[in-house]
Amino acid sequence: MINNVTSGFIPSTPTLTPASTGASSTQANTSTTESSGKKAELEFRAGRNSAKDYSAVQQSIAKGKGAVESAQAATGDIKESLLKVREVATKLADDSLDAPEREKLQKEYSSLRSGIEKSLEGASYKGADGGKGLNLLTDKDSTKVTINSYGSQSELASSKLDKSLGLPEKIGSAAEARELLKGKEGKTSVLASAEKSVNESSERLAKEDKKLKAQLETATAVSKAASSLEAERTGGRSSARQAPDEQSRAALLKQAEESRQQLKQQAMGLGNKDQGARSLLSLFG
Amino acid sequence: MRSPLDLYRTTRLLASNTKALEAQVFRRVLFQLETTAKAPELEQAKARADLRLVWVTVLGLVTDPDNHLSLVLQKNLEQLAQAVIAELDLPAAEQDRDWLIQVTTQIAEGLEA
Repeated sequence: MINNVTSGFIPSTPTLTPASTGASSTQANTSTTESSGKKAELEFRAGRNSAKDYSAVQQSIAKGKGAVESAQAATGDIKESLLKVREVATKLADDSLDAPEREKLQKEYSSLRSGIEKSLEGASYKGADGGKGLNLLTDKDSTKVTINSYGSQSELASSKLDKSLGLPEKIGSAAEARELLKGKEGKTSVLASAEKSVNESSERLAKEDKKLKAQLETATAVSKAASSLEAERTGGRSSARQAPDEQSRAALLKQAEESRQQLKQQAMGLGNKDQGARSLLSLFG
Repeated sequence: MRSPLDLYRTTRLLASNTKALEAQVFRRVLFQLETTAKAPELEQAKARADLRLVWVTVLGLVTDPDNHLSLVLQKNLEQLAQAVIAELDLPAAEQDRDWLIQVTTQIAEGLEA
């Protein structure tokens, strides 16, 4: 679940201006009325809400969304595999099974277990963490996504799942198959625990995806608003732009062709040289 | 001291390198989209996520008041970015993959020139 780990839009705590850095820490704790007349001034931190700042926010949210979607896709595969594991284990729980058939099913189980491990490992999204990868199913720690230009962050929790969901390496006997299915001495079975963990992850990821989508829409809207304000302030371009709807794909494709021609005539690329981490070249490290 | 001609050549080279590198970023996501068309859903999801990241970045670049592109081109790219991102927000089964590839290919080709 996403939890806001820092406050929202408006900074809630006053900070000292650079002019006051020489003041003692006790001065920093005094109120504005107490400090009036003193050289050190307390004031709210200058807000950041320019289009530039918001493009970094949009990037951060898009990266988080990529990690969530990758984990969701992996969860879908794992759910299917667990259903098959249940089928295979049910067959293996039959004491009358002959040796060749048991061996065949055992191989099938091993293959399913390897597939689950592979899916868990593959849930890592490399676009999200400078190429290192972010895995919201198995990472030991959670990660943070910047949600506004003041640097407020939301936490994207990892499910911290075991790499094989606790499934045994093999099912050596009918008794072991029954234990996998039904548990031992009243305890929840490993398979049921695995299914529960994966289902919980799936629900959590769906909520996170929905929330990130809303945050990305908000960040995009605020970016446009900030861009509009800046354009007004600098007398620049009008920002009365609206995202086209999905019905106009053919027209948009034509527009893309026009953009191709216009780009061909440009000596420079899309970005400026000083855009650093916000540039296209910073992606996929 | 370097001659103005040398400086011009260096600047021109840097500019075209940036453009070519940006084209490679587009080509990379296009390659992923195309090669994962029949791959497991996990790989497709990653390819779509990378495409969104590229277009979100483009949106940020072209809405930057300091962007050097012509206003017409900025506006065109902004609208395209908004449309692509809206398309990617649809459930995977409802997305028009071919259209996403076609639009992105146009931009890659423009940057390759």
